[in-house]
Amino acid sequence: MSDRDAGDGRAGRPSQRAALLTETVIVAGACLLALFWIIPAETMDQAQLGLSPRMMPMSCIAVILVLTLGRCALDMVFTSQAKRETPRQPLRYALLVMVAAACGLTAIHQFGLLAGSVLLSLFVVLAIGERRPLRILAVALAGGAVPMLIRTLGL
Amino acid sequence: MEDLLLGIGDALSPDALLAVLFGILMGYVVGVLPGLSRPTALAVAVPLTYYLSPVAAIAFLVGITKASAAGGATSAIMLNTPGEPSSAATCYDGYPMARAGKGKKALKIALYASVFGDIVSTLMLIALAKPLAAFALKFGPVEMTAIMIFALTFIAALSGGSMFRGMISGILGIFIATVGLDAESGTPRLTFGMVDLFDGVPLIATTVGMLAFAEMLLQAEALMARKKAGATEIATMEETDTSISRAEVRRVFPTLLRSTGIGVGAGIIPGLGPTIGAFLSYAVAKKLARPGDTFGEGDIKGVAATEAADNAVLPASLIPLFAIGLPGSVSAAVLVSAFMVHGITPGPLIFEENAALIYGVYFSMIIASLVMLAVGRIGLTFFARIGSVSPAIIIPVVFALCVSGTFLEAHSMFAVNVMFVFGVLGYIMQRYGYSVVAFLIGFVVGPMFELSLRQALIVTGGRLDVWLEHPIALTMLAISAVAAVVFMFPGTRKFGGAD
Repeated sequence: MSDRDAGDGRAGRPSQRAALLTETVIVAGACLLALFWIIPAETMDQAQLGLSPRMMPMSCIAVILVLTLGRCALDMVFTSQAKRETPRQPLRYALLVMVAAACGLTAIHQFGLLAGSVLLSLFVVLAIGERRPLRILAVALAGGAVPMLIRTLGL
Repeated sequence: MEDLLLGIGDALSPDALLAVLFGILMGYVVGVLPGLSRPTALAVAVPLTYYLSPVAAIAFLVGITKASAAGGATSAIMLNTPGEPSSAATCYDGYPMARAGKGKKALKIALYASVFGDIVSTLMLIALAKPLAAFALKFGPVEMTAIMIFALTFIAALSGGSMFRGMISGILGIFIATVGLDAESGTPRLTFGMVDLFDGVPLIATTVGMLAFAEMLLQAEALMARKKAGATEIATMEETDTSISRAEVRRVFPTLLRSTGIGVGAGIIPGLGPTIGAFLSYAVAKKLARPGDTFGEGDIKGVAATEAADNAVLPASLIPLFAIGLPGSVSAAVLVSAFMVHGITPGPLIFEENAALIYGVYFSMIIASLVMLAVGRIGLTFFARIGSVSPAIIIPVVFALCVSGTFLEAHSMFAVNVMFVFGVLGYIMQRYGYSVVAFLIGFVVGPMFELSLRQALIVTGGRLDVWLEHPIALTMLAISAVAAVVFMFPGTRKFGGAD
């Protein structure tokens, strides 16, 4: 019996297995990086009093690593094909909006909160595909209204 | 008595009353608009409370939460599009009522049921929180650690699609909370030499990023994917039946009581939240249907059941927050950040250290319920029209609000950058099924959990036999272990999405 028509609830298509393994490798890799490099470099091993400052971050990451490996193993055995198939929107949409937002943040860095917020709203509204001038104008004005209020009220 | 009078005085001050009113108005708008969720609105609103008194600030946020729960029913009934996930069950009977020309009647039932559930749940909060807090004061670090493990296990189990991913999210939240100066030794941890991180990762920036910014990324993505989405029109059926008779009130009342009880239960138990509360309440009401009931075809009992339960959840979720400092839902977690902004730490000591504030909050909650009734009744049809505002306008404006709100936290771009990073992280987590709710609750309770755990390790000296002297902690840990094993295997999870 092929993976595709496995009726006993085991892991489904090879692409789904590959996605599961990729996710596991990424998360487990990040955990190992944190355990053996980031946490030792960014925390002291021993404190003069009490428990080690490293104890909690190390414990958290170790538990995440165990859970990730455990989930991978259990999903390989138990998860049904139907449950795994969750349709997702193409990543490019969100990436485009993230880039627009990042450009907006750069604009705030460069031109200040008021002008930057107007530009941020403009970039985002254009990124999500709005082309009607009146709506774009309304969004830009609304985007600048809050920082304007902050400045006016001296908050 | 003096604290009570002071609290009532604070709640009746003009700024607190105005805050309640604005909170209710904002909450209604948020509830009606399908693109905006309650936690998103709360996260964006917290920075707006910096300059309010503590009572006014909490009253404002409570107003938003209460009214968004009630407002969510409006678009569910009129447009068959729930403004809030917790109002989805209202569509089952609300929309058929609107189609049958009973839209106004359904809106009235939803409003009255919301206010009823809300007031009863608030009274439960007032009655239970203080005695529970007094009891919780007897807990030592071992019990507190066990209770937090118990709560996080249930939140992880019920707040997403996978128990493992929920637990990973919660523990990641605790891990992020360790950034900053170590509470015991004062040495920096994971700060990468950035002085801005010495106080830890900014709470507001994380909350706004994870909830509002990430949510808007998802909304934008969905909007762009729906290339030519058909505009949904507000139902314009001719109204044939708008009033509620006494016989109908008598018929609905037992359902209201039962549903409020279910909502209170869903609020107290960590991780359940309003969505599960509302669906559970509807399922129970349907199960107990009498001859003549027409669930699914436009029965007022169906609308009343979901709305009473939905609105009963928030006040009840404040019971564990005030009693032991544990937020049971993401809305409660956001309220924790609002308390902290004003220098107040929720927990059992709050009744001794800030008694006037708590009484003020209680009184404001009752006022908010009454204002919600008035505003909802007056703006019944107006709010139904707001639901047609395009997400293409909402999304960029909320992005700008996220930036402005985060900037207000410290008047620095550092917090804004942190918000952006956590917004992207929140988007990735939601996209791949990791619970943002569990992450945020882990992040909020992280410092308290670490402190309790460290104290517990010192108290027990690492010896397992000492745990036998702590039966409450042992029971909690045993329940957590059983729940974890049960929920780990597929097919045991029927619901998802706490709050």
